[in-house]
Amino acid sequence: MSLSLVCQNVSLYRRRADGSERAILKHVDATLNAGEGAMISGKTGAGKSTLLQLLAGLLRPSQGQITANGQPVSRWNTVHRDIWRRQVGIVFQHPHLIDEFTVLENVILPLIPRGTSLTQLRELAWQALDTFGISHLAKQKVLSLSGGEQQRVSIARAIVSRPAILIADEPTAHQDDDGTALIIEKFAGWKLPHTIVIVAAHDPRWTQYGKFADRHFLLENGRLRELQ
Amino acid sequence: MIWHPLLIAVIVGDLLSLLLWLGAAATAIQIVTQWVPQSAKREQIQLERRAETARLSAKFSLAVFFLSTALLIIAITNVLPAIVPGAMCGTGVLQATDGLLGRALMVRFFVFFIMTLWLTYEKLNLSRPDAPLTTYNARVLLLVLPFFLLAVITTFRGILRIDSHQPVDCCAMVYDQFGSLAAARQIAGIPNTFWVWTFWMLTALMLSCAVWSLRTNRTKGEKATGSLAVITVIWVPIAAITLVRVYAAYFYQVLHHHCPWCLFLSEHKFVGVPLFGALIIITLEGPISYLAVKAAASYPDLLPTARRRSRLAALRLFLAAVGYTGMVALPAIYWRLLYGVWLG
Repeated sequence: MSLSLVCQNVSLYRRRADGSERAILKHVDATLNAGEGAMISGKTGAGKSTLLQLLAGLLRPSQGQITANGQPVSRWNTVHRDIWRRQVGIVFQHPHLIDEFTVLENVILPLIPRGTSLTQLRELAWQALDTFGISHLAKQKVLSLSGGEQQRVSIARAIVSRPAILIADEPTAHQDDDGTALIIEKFAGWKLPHTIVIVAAHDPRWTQYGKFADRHFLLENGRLRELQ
Repeated sequence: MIWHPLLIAVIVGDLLSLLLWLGAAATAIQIVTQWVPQSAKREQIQLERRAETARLSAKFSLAVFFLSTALLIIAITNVLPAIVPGAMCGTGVLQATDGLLGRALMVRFFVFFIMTLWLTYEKLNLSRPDAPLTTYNARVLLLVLPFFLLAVITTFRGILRIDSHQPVDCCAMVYDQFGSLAAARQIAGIPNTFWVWTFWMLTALMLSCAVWSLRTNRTKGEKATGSLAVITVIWVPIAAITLVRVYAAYFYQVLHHHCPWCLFLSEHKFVGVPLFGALIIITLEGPISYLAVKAAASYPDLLPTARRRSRLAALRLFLAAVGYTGMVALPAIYWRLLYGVWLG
């Protein structure tokens, strides 16, 4: 079965300090299919990161459901949702790297629970680092890296397990022009017949470069609409 | 009432455990009345979240209840006998509560059995992403509640009833139960020998059924586990009777001292703990080996997990039964080899 990720009438509410409710997302409907690259844009505070966290299974909707291959993964219990999440690679807005570890160790981390041999782990990690041109940093502690380099390490960590769904939140926020071009190109290359790539970004270059975004969504006031 | 720290811990543990179970029961009522798995409406999504919280709450409650029951047994067997005048073991302590704590223990074991059954069903339920046994299990959770209340109330009444001023007979009274030596050698008018042979025959049958349950390749295996459950229910009381009336003598090295609680004393190396522990495991795992498969009968997707749990139950039962029979038989055989006669 070909991979598909569907949001069905997804809403998310948060309670304010005064007890009233605020809708972060309202009745979001969207379907993404394998081989597609989707870009979500919107103003700061529009709910892009929240939507990505919902799609990644890190948050659960207050209403509606998210299905993957027809299965309502957002409603599965924690055990099964955690297993499903192994198919998802996530690049957070902040790198969330472990300062005490080297770059290579940080990238290897997501592979450890998968029971792969150490040689294979290192090989996959080196490949991921090579992809983003940071293999020369492999032995360095992440604290000594710049913000842009840390961001690339976090992207390498997200793709090292070859996820079927790659979700990235502002992955080029700290990159210069060359770095941005490289990352957009790599993300475009990640669109395979069995993968879905979703990126939330302010940066207009994601649409200007033209290779990545097959679908462009705009999130405004908690509502998602597709731009033609 | 004796304000002993151990008894206070039991009271606090019971109250905490009951509160947690009550919280889970409130959600269970909603699940029974409002659960609509096909719906993705807000009410259903909220209920699904609350169901996960209730599950955690009930698991924690079970753990606390287990702990407070263990503390209560330690108090009865090894702490309170030093406080209650005349008490040498748990028998004296139970006498000081007019038997209330004995009744409380019985109800607590029953509650623990249903809770364990709930936990087994919950693990089965969670083996599938769609959790098909959710409403079924909510009913089991609710079923526990009245017995849980009864167990806690009886325990509290028993603790409050402990009289530390009135001396008790303790297990010296067991000798007064029999008018003659012949009466001490029979149970319900039937000679002890009959009970011993019955015990060993049923043990052989139970172990065979456990092996059958372990080896059966059928998808359901209801016959094997059903037989195992029935034999277990018959075996456990007979095993307990023969232990107290026949085999305990080899630990006490005294004839006709039919007291189960003395087995928990340090002078008998706390042998009651593994012996009764094994009996409890067998009591739980025998029926569970059948009930796990039975609950999954309507859900084919659950059957493989149910069969695995059923086999695990049969294996645990087998090991506990082998351990138990070894523990009761070896001292008797040793005595027979040493002195050339059986005790009693």
